[in-house]
Amino acid sequence: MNCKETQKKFSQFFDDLLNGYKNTALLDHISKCESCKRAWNRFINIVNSLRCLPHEEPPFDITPGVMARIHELEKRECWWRKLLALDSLAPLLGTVVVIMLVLGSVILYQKVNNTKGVLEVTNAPERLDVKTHPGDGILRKTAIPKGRFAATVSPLSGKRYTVVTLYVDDIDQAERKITTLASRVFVDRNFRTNPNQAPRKILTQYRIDIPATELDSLLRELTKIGEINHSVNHGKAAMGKGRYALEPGAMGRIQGMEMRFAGDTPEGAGNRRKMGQGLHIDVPMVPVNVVVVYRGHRSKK
Amino acid sequence: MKVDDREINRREQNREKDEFDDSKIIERILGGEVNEFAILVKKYQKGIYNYALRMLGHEEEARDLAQDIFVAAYKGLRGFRGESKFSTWLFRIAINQTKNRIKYLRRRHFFDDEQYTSEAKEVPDAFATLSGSEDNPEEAFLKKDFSSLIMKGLMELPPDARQIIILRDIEDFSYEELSQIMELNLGTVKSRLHRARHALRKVVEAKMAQGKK
Repeated sequence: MNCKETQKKFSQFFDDLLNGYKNTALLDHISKCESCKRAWNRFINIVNSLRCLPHEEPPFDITPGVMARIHELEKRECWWRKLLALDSLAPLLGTVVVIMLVLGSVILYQKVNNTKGVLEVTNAPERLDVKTHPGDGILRKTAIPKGRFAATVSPLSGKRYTVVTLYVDDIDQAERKITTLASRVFVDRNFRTNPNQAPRKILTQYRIDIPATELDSLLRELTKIGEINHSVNHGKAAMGKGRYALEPGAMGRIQGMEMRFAGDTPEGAGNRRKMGQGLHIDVPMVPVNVVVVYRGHRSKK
Repeated sequence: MKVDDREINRREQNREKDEFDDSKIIERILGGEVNEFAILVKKYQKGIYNYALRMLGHEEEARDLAQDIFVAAYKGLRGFRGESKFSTWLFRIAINQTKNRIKYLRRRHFFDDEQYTSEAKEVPDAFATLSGSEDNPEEAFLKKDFSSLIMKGLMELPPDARQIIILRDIEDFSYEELSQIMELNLGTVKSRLHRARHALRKVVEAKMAQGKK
């Protein structure tokens, strides 16, 4: 054991923490090495002096001071304990707690399973791109402001919608008749200008929102206007920039229609790539899309 | 300076009895007898006050800190699960409160005052004299002077080192108790204590050398 190792062990040696072998080696070294002996003497002098340091008497006011502060604390904190200790109030408080728990559970349940709650669509849906113009009732596309939340919802949005292709000879007469069929008829003249469509073939697209139960009678009425061909399709809503605040199950009004957002559509992925997030929407009112086509075009086909 | 076995047994028995008494008192306090806390304060105030005094080196501050420690202990009394001794638990609170107080006082440059930077008094070669065993007035004077030198040296150590020396060598806590109080493992306690004692030795030696000049 050299001097450095020896002096490193002073503390443990002093506290009897060294094993027999190390103890002997350290004592051996100290007896032979004069400088380590001096260092050891200094060490034990200091530690022994520390141990002999007198304990000062604490000031007399520590206990009264502490107790005064504790009584002050008790006064401030124990009002609710006292309240709970009152026998007459305990059942009342218990009842209040139970009622609050029940109410809380009901509210939570409603929140989780909310299918009929009112949804304030405040973030944007009133700025949906397809809107009825107040003046002429024509659907027009509006630009989505940059950086603002916005969404696009196709006029055919809905979990289920019916497409009726109506072949007519006189477009004006057909339009007049269609608009009398239901109170909510949207006319999408932009449809005609869509470059992907054949403008001369398809004249006008109407959307008529009717209760599902009235679909058959509507179809009967349409057969009086022209020859019809109809199919039931699944629609989708495509979300634009930003995040849509609606969660599946939420109810909302879009384009005057009560809608329930049921979740992502199978086509959602495609829509997300193109426009945003696809949403599946349950529509209590069945939208009927009436595509008016000149009878002549059909015959050409 | 070995103590015989009977003395060790007597101390052990006293400690066990103390802990038993403490837990009874705590039960009564938690049962609503708030005034019983005064018994605990009286019992431990000397140790806590002296710890605070040696950590801060200022009587007024030590008194305030001691009161804060007891009030904090009272507030946390429901959290005392009796897994360790009450004294150990109390000193754990004390070291945390002291750390906070030192930080607070440092921000206010409290330790920059003259009181804490005063030079050590002229000291004769106390090491040589102290090794003798004679108990005469001259030696008593030297011992007192040496004690004050050690106290000054202690105040110059970093708070962590000062704390472990006070707890071990002045308050006489065992290594296991230190490990509980400081929430460190035994090995770390041993090495920290060694380093702290070594540092104190260096400081005291430097002061002695300064005193001789």
